[in-house]
Amino acid sequence: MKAIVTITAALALSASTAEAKTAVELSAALGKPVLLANTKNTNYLKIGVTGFERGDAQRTPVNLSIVLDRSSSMTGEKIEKAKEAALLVLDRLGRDDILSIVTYDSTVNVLVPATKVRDRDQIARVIRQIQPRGSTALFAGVSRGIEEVRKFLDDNRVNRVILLSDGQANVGPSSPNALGRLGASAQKEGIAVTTIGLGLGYNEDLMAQLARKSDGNHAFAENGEKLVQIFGYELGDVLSVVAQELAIVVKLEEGVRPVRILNRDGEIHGQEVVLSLNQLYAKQEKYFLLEVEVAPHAVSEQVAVADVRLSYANMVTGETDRRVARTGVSFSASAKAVSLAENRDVMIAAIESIAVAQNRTAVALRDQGKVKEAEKLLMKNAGWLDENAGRYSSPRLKSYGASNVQDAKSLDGERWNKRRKAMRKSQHELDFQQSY
Amino acid sequence: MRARLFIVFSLLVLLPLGAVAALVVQMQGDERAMATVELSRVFEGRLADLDGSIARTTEAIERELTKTLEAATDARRAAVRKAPLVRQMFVLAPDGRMTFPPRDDTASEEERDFVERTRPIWEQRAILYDRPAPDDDQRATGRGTRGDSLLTLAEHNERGWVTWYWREGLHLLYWRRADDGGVVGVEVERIALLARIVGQLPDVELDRGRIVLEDSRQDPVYQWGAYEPAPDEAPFAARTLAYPLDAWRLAFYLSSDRHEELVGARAGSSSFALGFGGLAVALVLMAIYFYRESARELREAAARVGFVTQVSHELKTPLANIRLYAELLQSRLEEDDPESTERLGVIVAESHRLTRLINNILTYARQRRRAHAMDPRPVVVDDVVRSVLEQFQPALAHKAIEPSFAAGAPDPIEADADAVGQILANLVSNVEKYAPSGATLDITSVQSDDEVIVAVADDGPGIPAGARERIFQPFFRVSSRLSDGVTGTGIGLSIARELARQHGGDLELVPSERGARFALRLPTHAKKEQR
Repeated sequence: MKAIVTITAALALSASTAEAKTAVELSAALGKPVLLANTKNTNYLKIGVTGFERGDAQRTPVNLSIVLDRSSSMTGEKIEKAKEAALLVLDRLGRDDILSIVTYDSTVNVLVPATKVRDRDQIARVIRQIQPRGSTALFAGVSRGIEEVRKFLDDNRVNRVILLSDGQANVGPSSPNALGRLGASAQKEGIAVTTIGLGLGYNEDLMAQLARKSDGNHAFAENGEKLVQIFGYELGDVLSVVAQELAIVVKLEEGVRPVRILNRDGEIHGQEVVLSLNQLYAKQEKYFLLEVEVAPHAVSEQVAVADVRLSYANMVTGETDRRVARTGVSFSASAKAVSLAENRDVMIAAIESIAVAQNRTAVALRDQGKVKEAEKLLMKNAGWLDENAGRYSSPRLKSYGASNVQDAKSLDGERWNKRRKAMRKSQHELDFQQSY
Repeated sequence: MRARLFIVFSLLVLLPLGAVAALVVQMQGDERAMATVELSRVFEGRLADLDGSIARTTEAIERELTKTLEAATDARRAAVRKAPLVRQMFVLAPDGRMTFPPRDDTASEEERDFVERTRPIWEQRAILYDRPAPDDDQRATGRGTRGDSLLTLAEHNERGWVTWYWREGLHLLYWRRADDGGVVGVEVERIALLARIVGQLPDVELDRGRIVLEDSRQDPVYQWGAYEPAPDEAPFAARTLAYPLDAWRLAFYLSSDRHEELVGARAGSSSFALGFGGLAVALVLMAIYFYRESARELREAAARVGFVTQVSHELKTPLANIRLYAELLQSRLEEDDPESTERLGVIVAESHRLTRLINNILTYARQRRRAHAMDPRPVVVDDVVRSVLEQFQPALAHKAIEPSFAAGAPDPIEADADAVGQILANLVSNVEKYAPSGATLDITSVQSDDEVIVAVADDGPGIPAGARERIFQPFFRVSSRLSDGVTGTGIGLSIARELARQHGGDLELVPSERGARFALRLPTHAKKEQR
């Protein structure tokens, strides 16, 4: 019984121990390191990367484009707060950072072309002069924001677009799918698009999709007041990037079948799973949850499950680092042994991810007008979360269960529009381990 | 007279001016149409420039795509992961079999989706077209030769584009012939391509126009310019993008006031207006000049007439005295001195002629002033005829003209005796002046209840057919040659007819076999002064 061996090792390939402090930590852990023998088992593989503490090292310069909605619906407090937020960003950037400001209504204006932040007063003046008008050419706005970032595209900078929108895109491509594809394309260039929805009129599907596919953040600001805070958080993330272009290749051993990636997007090619992240922030863990099916094995057998390789651009050393992690399972005839050996952290993450997927399904049902079914599903989800919260004594699962109950109560009337936005935000936040 | 002159000259100005104005309006219309065409050409040129810059972007994209296509067999997925414009890559073996993405379970979901959405192409159900050479102008006629598979296209070309529609619109494949005779290609990430193109287009410009990049459904993809066109507004100029983006177009919308301004500037309306204005001023000045000139001439002529009238009037009294004393002298010398009597006869006859001349001038002048006062009293026309003939007796005798008078108007009618005498004297005087020696002069008078007709006929040279009416116009003479030896002012017949008409009658030249025959009609009751 005690022969259970878990091979959950993170082996730094980098030779120097001094460097290890400024290296991304890679982990690969299974939800159930011990499986029931002689049967097919479902297991969850959590692949985590954690950013190191930057310390005194100079922070990575950023190449940022702020894309602001200035359609007529922004009139009033919204535009004023948006300007305030943009000014806050300007304030926190340094002389080596690159900033561009793009506004869009029916048409697009590059108010400040990508430039190093030297003449702050001039940029601030331009920001203050923004006046709302016209409709919402969101696609064109993002395209130009990306174009401005592309002008100084540099692996050694944090390349990012912050998109603010308070309305439905009504000029140019506007489907969540199309904008998602644009996000995916931006990610290939190392550009993340953070999307901030303001008020209750924006298209949260489009905004969430764009952020998801480009590995950006997504936030919901109910009013202008929250906007400044969100921009602050966002900038905190942007300024704390320690690694970029993270590419993870997971090689699953024979007899281990990848089923799906629970929380993020990735490619599954037979036994190989390819995952990528645009960037990693200091002291934050980002992870992928992979559902796998493990073929039956005899009692006491120990088998390797996955070989995980990470390569990334270290923003402090300026080098491309590689790391490797491996994991495996052993088999037992005792269900109790299986249960006792469970990795609580991985299980909680997996349960949360599954619950998020259910939460998404509930939104889809509600969209089809099936309010009752959606409510039922959310309540069931909440119950399941509650049960697991008890089992793993996880306040996190408990609170998400409570949140699902709230969701279930907000499926009709005026509440629904706002709740839907909040749900999209929390789905993204949980799937992507967003810091805010 | 002045008023008529004014009207004539006004017309002289207004008619040509109107004609020119009409011409200018028409020319300006033509000019505007021309300017509109020209302007749309300018804007089409502008769109062509933009199309050119988009084509250059597309070429840069082609180069970028080519790099992905050159990826080694084992690095294809990695290449796709790093290529923002590539959604998927594919490889066809020379036999048409797809070797990448793999058809087994190592294909990712995304790869399986790709195979699914491009199925019509692999099953040769889609019609594919070659990309025309960049310098070919096949844009208008089509997309070059068509084929049913990429491999057949690859037999003709080294590389090319394939477009097809799937869900969200235009999709693009870019392919190259592989070294082994197969084909390698990529599916372009449509939205990223669009974003790349949009990123290259201008952002601010055009204060009153708008340029819109429109997709195949003519929905705007990207637009710039401050002008907001109406939802169903037709563009002022449009241009389909170069292949392979030929499902999209650039459209130029122009606000109507800006359009007006530009067309106006091109049509050069100001120079037209200037030309027209200049012409009008010239015409008016000319008209004023000629009007003043003719008015002056009229004034001078009137002064001359006034002068002649004045002089004639002054001559009248002395002449009356000469005639009176000559006649007194004549009665006293009666037959004592035949030679002196004859000479006195000449003096009397000539003073009569001079009196008639002066009377004619004064009558004419009065008629011109429309101030001829008629004094109708009972008059026996035959008596007047006799008195006139008596007066002319010496002169007629001198030319051996023996007048005959068939009197037939013995009853008095209401008429101005002096005027009737003047009419008849003018007629007889003409016979005396123009008829040759020995000619006949026949005067006939006929009276009815309503009128008296006096006919004066001779067998002289007569009046030429072309001059039958004009002889009644003032200052007209059948022959003005002084060498004819005939004197006259040319106003006799004119005032004679005028006097007759003032009576309510008329004086006409009536057709006759030879010579001239005038008929004077006088009503029994003269009309009261009608003028």
